[in-house]
Amino acid sequence: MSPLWRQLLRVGFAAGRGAPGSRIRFAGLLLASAVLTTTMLAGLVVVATYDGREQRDAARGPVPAGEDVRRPAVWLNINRDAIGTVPHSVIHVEPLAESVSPPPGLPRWPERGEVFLSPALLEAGSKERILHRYGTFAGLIGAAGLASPGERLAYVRPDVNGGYEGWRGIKRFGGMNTMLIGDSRDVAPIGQFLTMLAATLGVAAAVLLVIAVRCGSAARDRRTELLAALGASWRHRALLNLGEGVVPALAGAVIGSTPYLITLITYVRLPGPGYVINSDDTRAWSWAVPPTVAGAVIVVLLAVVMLHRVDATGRSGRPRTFARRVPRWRLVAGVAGLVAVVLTPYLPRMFGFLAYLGGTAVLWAALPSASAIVIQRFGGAMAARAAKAGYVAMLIAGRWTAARPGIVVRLTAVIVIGIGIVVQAQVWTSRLGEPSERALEFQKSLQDSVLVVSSPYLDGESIESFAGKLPAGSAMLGVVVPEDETQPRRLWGSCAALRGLVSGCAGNRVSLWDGDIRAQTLVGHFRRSGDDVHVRLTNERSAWPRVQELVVVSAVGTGGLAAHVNEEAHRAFAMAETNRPGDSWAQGSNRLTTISAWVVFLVTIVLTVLLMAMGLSSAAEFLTFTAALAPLTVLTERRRFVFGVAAWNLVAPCLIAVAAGVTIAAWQGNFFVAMSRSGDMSWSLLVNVAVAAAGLSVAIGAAGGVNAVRVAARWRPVAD
Amino acid sequence: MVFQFGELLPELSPVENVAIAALLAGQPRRTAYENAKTLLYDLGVPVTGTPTGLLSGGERQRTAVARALITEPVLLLADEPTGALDRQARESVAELLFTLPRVRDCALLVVTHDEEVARRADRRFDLRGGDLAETRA
Repeated sequence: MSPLWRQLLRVGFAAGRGAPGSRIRFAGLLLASAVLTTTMLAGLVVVATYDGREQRDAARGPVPAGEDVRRPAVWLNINRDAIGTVPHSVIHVEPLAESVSPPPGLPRWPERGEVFLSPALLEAGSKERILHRYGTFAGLIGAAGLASPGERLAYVRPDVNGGYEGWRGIKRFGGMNTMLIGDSRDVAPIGQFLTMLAATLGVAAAVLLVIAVRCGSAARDRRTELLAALGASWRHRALLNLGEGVVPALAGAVIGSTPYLITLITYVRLPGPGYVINSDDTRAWSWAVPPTVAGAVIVVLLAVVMLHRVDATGRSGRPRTFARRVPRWRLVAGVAGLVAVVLTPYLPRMFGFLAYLGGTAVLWAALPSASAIVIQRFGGAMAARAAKAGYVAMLIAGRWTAARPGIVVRLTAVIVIGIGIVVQAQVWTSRLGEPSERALEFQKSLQDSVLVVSSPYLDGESIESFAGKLPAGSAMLGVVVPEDETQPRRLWGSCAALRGLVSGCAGNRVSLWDGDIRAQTLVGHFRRSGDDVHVRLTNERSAWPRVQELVVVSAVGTGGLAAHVNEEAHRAFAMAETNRPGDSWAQGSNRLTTISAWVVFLVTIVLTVLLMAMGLSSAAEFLTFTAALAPLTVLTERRRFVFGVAAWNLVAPCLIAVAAGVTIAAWQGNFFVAMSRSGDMSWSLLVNVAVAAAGLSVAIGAAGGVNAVRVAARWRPVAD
Repeated sequence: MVFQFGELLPELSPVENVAIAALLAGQPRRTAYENAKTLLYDLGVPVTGTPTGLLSGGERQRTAVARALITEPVLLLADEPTGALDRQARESVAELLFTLPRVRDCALLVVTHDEEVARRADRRFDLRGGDLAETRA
């Protein structure tokens, strides 16, 4: 390294500590480096987690016995059950040979009537007495047998002798061509997840990085001008910038690595989605941490060098920096993004989806620049009007706004992008969560007044035993499910059981059509297209034919019975399942609810990062603002003047940006709802966001004013 | 008050930089702008075309003097008013400042390191080791 290069690095290093605004710039670069490192390591956590899950899935997945196998090694039957609306798998096993190994995570095969539970299922189901639901608790399933430490899973060996019709024969657990079990049956592809991460955290980290790189850049721009005058090339400028950025970039990378380091030590449960990260998975990929962190540092330093754009006017050698102009290509890009969004309905489905996402990202990224051009013109008009009227604060603010649109972009970018993200997240989650909410609404009105119990092992004796354990006030109906699926299902029961369900009970058949909500629910649940649902009346259960399902009916709105009935059903019948009508609907939409939780989780982080960016850009702007305004306070002691400049220079541009952001967000939200024909646009949320953003703008102005007054009191003239 | 580095707003025109002091002091707009133009003309600063950011060092200091004078102060404070100027500009600004008390009927207090500038004053005080003492010319 030549002495000049060493000298330039040293100058940059010293400038990073001593120049005006260097503390803000240092903090900004440190923060941006930390957030970028965390984001890139979050991507690594995703890769590590998917890899670990795949390996465990391969090791625990049952291998079906083919037709060539005369006798399978294990009988397998998988049921679904739920704690609340969160479903889980219950894997029934019956080993047929001593030599077959139990699934990973189990120390031994369960004995007849025994059950192994995952820690998460045991914890979540403690109130529903999950410990006793499936049989005698034999122990916990180890992490090696779970897709993630938070997976809810049970291995049960039911206490039955024979009768394995409907069971599936398997050769072993683990190997080639395994079946997916448990939560792994319902996992988003890794590409989809990484795309979502890039579109949320990645974009936020990029915004923060760009703002941090430009923070406190006035002193840097002056150095650039000096270097240019001395004949320095872009290489010399880059060295100076590297010297300035290397310490905060490295320090930020160390801080940003901390969350990953925590995941190496212990299981980490993510708030919101509740997903538990397995430390074994992150440890397996710990070799990739140093290159990932190094990559983040390199990206930060590249941004410090590359985003320090200067160009010449052609008329002089004086460099022209971005703070004084807004590139026109950004407007073109914004219009292109808008066109892409508008054309979405006319494009093929997948292409249209990508066009919508890409167009949205470009549109919102370019919107601050478009706002800045409007604001720049607004500044010019404001100054002209103030000059005519003699308004000093407005004149100064107008001239500043017109002269430095780049600063306005940085100040308003976070507000505009934040509005866009909040509104888009609301529209998307309303689309994802609505069916789930409808299902839950339905179940809330019905509660546990209708419960359907099924088992392949229903017989007269166990049915009688079960009936004796039902809560007082509950009655039971039997359901005959014909093998011929075209035949209607028949319900059997007594008038006593039907009391309240239907208006009249006479003869030997009762129609449920004119009954209450429970009867209507039974019709909806058991009816096949075009047929009717009748109850055959008999007072004696012994007169029932062989039934495949039971219905436990209680007074409308009765809650808290499901867990009790489920437990008694499992006690009475092997492999029992207890469901409320609509459960499959509610549990099916649980996946959408989970996705909504992920969206809310990521958006919360994104908004936090954007608020950091906002704080940084505001602090940097205050620095310029107060330095320029302080000498003028010698001319007047009126604080109103300072706050007037703050209002016109800081608040007015932000309010224009808020108006632009809210208008585009409202249009795009409605466009999305109309295009996808699902979800809804929350006007109340939009109003709240607009009010909050406007409040934030006023707060920025007030803080700028207060800061200027404070700085002015102890301001002293200093040399450049 | 005249500062060593002018402390003007480069985004505003020289006329606006001077006029804002008068506006802040409550003068009507028309009077403020007319007085600003007259003062700048008298002090030899171009009033049209050239933005403040492109004025020479001497012109910027003269603009700062005009801004200080527009409110017709009884006392004019100047903190190293020639410190950042070349020889020619320094002479020009010093000449301007020290004629002001006579022409404008005001007192002038100048803080300077420049012996030649200091010699123009009626009374001189030296600040040495924290003590201020009058020096005979």
